[in-house]
Amino acid sequence: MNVALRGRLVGLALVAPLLLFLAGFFVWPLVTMMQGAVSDPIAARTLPTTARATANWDRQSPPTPEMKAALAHDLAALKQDQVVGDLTRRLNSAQSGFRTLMSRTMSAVREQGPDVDLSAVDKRWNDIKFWQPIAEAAASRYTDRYLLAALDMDRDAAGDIVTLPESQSANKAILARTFFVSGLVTLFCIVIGLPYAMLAVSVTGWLRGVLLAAVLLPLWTSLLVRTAAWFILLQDNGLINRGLMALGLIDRPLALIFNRTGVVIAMTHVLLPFMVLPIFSVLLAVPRNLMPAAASLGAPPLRAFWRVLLPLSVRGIVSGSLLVFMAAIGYYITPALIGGPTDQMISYVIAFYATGAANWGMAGALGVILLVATLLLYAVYQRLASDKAMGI
Amino acid sequence: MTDPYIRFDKVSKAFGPLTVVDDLDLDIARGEFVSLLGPSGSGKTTLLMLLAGFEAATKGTVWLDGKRIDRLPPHRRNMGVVFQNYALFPHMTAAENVAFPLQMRGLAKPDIAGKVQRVLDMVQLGRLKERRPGQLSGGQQQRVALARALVFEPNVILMDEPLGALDKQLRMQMQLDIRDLHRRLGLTIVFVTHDQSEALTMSDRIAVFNRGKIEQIGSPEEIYDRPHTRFVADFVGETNLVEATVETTGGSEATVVLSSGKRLTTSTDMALEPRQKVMLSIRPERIRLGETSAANSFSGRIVDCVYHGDHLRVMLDEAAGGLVVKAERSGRAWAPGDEVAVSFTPADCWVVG
Repeated sequence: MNVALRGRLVGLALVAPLLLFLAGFFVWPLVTMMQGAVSDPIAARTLPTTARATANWDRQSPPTPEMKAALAHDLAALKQDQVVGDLTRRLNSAQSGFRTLMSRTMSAVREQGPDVDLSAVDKRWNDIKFWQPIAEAAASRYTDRYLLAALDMDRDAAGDIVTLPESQSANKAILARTFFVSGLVTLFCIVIGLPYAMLAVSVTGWLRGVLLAAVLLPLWTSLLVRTAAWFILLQDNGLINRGLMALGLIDRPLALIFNRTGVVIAMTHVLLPFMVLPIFSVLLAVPRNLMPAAASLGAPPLRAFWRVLLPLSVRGIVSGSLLVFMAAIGYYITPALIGGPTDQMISYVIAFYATGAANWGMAGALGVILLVATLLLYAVYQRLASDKAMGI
Repeated sequence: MTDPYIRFDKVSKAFGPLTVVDDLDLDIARGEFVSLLGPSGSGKTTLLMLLAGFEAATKGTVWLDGKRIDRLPPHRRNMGVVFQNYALFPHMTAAENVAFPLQMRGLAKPDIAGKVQRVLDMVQLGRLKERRPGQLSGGQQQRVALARALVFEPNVILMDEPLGALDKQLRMQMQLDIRDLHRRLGLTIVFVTHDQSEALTMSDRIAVFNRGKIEQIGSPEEIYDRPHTRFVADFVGETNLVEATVETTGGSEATVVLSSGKRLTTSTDMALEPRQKVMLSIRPERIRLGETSAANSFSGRIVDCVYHGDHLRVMLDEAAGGLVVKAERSGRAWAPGDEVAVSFTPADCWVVG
């Protein structure tokens, strides 16, 4: 018993670094991000009295004097400018105009104390348009507004979920674009990677070494370097355009950069190893004499490929596609450097909210949407890749 | 042979500087079971690949039923190939594997199902047709491969060491099964093996390969009892090879003298000259101990005696030519040091050149 316990403890000690690493650098940030997507504590924390006063308000009738008094009371209790700033930003994101309203009200509250009449400070305090966001925000520490906004949706005054007009947001379009570009890249990776892997398997010795090195070497180079290289190659004055013009195939440069073509070319190149290597390893395990066997049984080369080699490569194609697609969904640097404004993918928007707009709620919500979409796709793949398709 | 079904005409195959099949002629009749027997690297498998169309001959032509086929791609040659490791399609069931050649020939579904069932029943696998190769034993996979090669009624069945991966008992069973199928269906079979007992058991004729050439071709009896070369005598079965000098010749018999001065009467189908150096092949199981016959008889001393279950292996001293004898256990008990009479008939003392 003691021996067994000690064995288990030693085992635990051995995996402890891994567990700590996973917890610290994987689980915790993931949980924080998901929490950030739904947490909205600022109003509930700073306006407790207002929250109680508006709890039974129907959000349609004019604001009552009790609500105004409660709000003035809560605002007077706010001493830190940082907190006031956070609250103002939160309210302004739901209804523009709060910035001026809040600064005027705060100075009045600080001069005249908590018993000031808000309607006298600013007429806008009689407008339910400004009370609805306050009641909404103060009611709960959690919100679905970021998640809804990530899908181009919002709640109207009555609290129903509505879809925003196209002019107001583009998250769904960008998400769709992300999946489209990733799918396109995956498709090109299959079209190039499958024959490449078959070629690499069919040769031996130094030739196979060269073929594999050609795929692997880029993998050992920094992603930034490879993208920068494509930046140079794809320019109007780049090697590709100059070469094609020198050959007389084109009269003026093809538009290869700052558009979707360039993004797909560069991403396909960068992600190709993740397609070639799984297919290569799967094909390596396929007995060499299956294709001759198919031929001897009367199958012409193409039919033999279709009926024998392709089904046997499916496992490699599926895992390669999964790797390429998942990696492509999260791509940021390549579209940012090589794409135009309409080629940016969802990571770019997330980065904008996280580092540009300091809107962690939106960044988290988009991250969650991306994660869920990815997991859904993975589940579909798992279903497709079950025993029936690969019962080998 | 007047009308060969398969004909190799001066066929050579080289891989770079390495000549694997060397200017080879071979005729095979319809319905014949021919084994290509030889050590690895002797060119027997390459010849099979040339016939199946997986390799192209460097020189020479290959004919099937009067038509030249060496330019035809493998899928149009209509030959059933059974590969060394069976080459079953791992993602298909046994039935799907067997149905494959029929689908390639565009047969209707009900016809395919019927034929598949019949051929699987024939190899006693009817109940396992829904299993994938990975779920079948080696012997069962072998039967599926055989069924797949038979189902489309090909012109020729080619087998490349198909029994090599099976254990001994199963191998012997399969040898008999294949021989039975050959006789029952009148198949033309070309069978590659390096196992001489397999070739002797199954074949109508055996072609013994050595370094890309056929050393000798003939019935199992001819190959075993009347080998033409030292290589064939040594490779097919076990033998005692003894050097000798021809003294007198007369018809199919000759008198030779061993280096020890012993005089033996031998059989031969070669034209021998007096004083010619020759090699004699004496099969261990044909040598009698403790008997004296008129022709070849002398005495020797037993050096060692090894128990082999069904027989005893007796080694004789240099005075008796260092012969190895396979003695029956039902005979006398022999012990090292015994002085013993050794004899064999002229027919069992064969000149191999």
